[in-house]
Amino acid sequence: MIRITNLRKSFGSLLAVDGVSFEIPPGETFGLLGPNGAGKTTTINMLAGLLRPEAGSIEINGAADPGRAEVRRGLGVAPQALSLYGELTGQENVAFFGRMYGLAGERLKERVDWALDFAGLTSRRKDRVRTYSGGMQRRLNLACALVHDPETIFLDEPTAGVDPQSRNFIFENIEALKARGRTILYTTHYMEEAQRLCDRVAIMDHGRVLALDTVPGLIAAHGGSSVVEVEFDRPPADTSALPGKLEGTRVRFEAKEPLPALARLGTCGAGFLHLQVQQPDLETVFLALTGRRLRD
Amino acid sequence: MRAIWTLAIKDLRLLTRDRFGMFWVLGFPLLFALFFGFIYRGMSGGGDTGKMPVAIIDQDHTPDAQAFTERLAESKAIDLRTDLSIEQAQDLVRRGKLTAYVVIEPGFGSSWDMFTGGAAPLQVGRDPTRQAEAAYLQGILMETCFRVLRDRVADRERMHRDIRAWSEDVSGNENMNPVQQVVFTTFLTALDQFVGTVDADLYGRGTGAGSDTGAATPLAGIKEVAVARKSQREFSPFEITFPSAVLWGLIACTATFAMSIVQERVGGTFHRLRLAPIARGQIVAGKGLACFLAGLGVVVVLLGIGVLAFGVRVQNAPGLVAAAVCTALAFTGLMMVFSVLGKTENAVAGAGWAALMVFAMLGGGMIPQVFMPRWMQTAGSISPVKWGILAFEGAIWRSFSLSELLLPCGILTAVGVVGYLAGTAILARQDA
Ligand SMILES: Nc1ncnc2c1ncn2[C@@H]1O[C@H](COP(=O)(O)OP(=O)(O)O)[C@@H](O)[C@H]1O
Ligand SMILES: [Mg+2]
Repeated sequence: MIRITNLRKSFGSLLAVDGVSFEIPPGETFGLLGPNGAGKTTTINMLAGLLRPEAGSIEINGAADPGRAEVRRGLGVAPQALSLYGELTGQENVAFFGRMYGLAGERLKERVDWALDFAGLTSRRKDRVRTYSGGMQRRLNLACALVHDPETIFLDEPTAGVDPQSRNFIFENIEALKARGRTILYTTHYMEEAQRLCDRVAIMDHGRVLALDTVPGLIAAHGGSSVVEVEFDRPPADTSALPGKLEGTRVRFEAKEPLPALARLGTCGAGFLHLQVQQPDLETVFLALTGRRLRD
Repeated sequence: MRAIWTLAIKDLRLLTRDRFGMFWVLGFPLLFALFFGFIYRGMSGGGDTGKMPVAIIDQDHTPDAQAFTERLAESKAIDLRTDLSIEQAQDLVRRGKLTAYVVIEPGFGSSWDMFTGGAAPLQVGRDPTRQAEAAYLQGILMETCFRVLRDRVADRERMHRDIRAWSEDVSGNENMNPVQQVVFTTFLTALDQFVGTVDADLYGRGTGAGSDTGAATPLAGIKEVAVARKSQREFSPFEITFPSAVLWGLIACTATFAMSIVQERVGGTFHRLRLAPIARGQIVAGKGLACFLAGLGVVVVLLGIGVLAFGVRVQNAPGLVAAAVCTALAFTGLMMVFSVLGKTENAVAGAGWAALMVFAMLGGGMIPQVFMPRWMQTAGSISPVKWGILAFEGAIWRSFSLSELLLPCGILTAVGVVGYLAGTAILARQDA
């Protein structure tokens, strides 16, 4: 269980995290979604005990101080910045961090093999990390955070600068971790990622949490209506039931619940040539909350 | 402790994979030792035999001066001429035919009486372009003085006579306060008794002499052989260049590990280490241990090459170990300080190398201190490089005893401890 209450941190005059509160029950994948500079990394760093909050409290797996060794042993953090030794091989990196978490002997060997396999790097394990592609380094960055098999995992933008293939690989990995009941805090500025992976999402901007709910909950509350566009094969005979104004054979309308509206369109005596339903997503939610897009 | 060890091993592994780093840590110092070694050897003009031509002029004419001349003539490093006047010797030195001349000034014999004189009044005239050899000659002269003194202590009758003379000296000395007089008189009485009661054989053995008197035991014979071999040393300029080279290797270690701390801070691995269940002190200690071990490795490799291939001989092996440990410690402390001089690699590389260059220059890492004017030699005392070189030279050819090594080793250890604590404290503050 992770609980933070009214966490605050500023750098000089800049308020980077401004009264953030949330709870993550065990086994949940929790997303922090926000643009660059929203304060996600700062929040994670405070949770991991690297930065001291100016105000607010942290509770992480029963302890108030994340700096304690017992807490750290159960915590795996993949930092946003790649943090690897380029002149060591992939295997040496993973083994080194494993040892730092107290692994040794057979157990270390077993976990190193697991982590390299998990990251899809078994065939490149003996190569220097300097020679890896960006995506491979990202995956290794993740493997180093997981080698000691932590219960609680913080992933800070784990797909930054990654090719689509590696990104998919990472998604599948995270889904596997979810399936094994790990508690995951996931930050990203890609709404698709939050939407696909996270049970609940907090939308952050300028150091504040603007909204927090499940993805459908956020959309229902802040997403507004779906936009439906229909092109008929001929002008419909009965236009009285149309939810919008007919222009030629096309009609465009907004609806909170697009399905009943579409069912009604089916009865107006014309076939569909073309149908497009644009549902609101987290992007729409962010736009509604801030008046800006997530990425420009 | 295991975590610190793991951290250090990781750093040493990274060092061995860094070709540039390895060049500065081992390759460059080795080149330095060889390059200047061959230059100095060329300067001595002797090619491979390398005997220093030295003249001695005895103006004292006492038995002690005689003994000194004989002992010096035994040295295989020196080609001794006794047939010159002081003017002739000066002229030959000026023309480069002699490396130096030594004048035993009048009063040399009486200056051995420990309370009236100080050092033996020897005057050395030397060729200013041959200062490396002059330093080496100085070591040989000291050793010779010591051997003459030892011979004299081995002569019991004379020792009794000396002690009596010293006692009279002390009691008649008005400059000495009564407490000092009591202390010296008590000491001399005890010494007199000791000289009188100790078994003759043991006495000779204890002073390392007397084996050429009839009562030689096998053990005493072995001792004499060892002493004789010591005096057969040939002049090896590499004995001067290798200690400096070791210091260059340590300087490179210091710079390399200071940089590696910054690289870890910039590159995020330091951040990641701080997430692990280990204390910050352990992370820093791991870096320190790596630097220390790398420093010892540099000493072992460079001096190993010097000993195996270039005729470097170590006179005082335990002293060498002490010199190596203390110097590596000092440079580990410096490394910690340099690592917090800046927050970027460029800042630390710039500031660190600049400071280290000044240390190296003042401390005799570039040009041996004997080549420097006196004021610069004095200024060099602020440089740990000077003390490191002194410690290594002391153990290799200056015939330092362990107690003489105490000063440089003490200073080096202090630099190490203070530097380490200061660097760690600043790092913790920067990180908070
Ligand atoms: N060490 C720091 N010193 C000064 N400003 C910082 C520091 N770390 C972060 N910031 C600032 O705090 C704000 C939040 O940063 P961050 O938490 O990294 O955001 P995110 O991870 O959401 O992109 C940004 O404006 C950033 O510039
Ligand atoms: Mg961030």
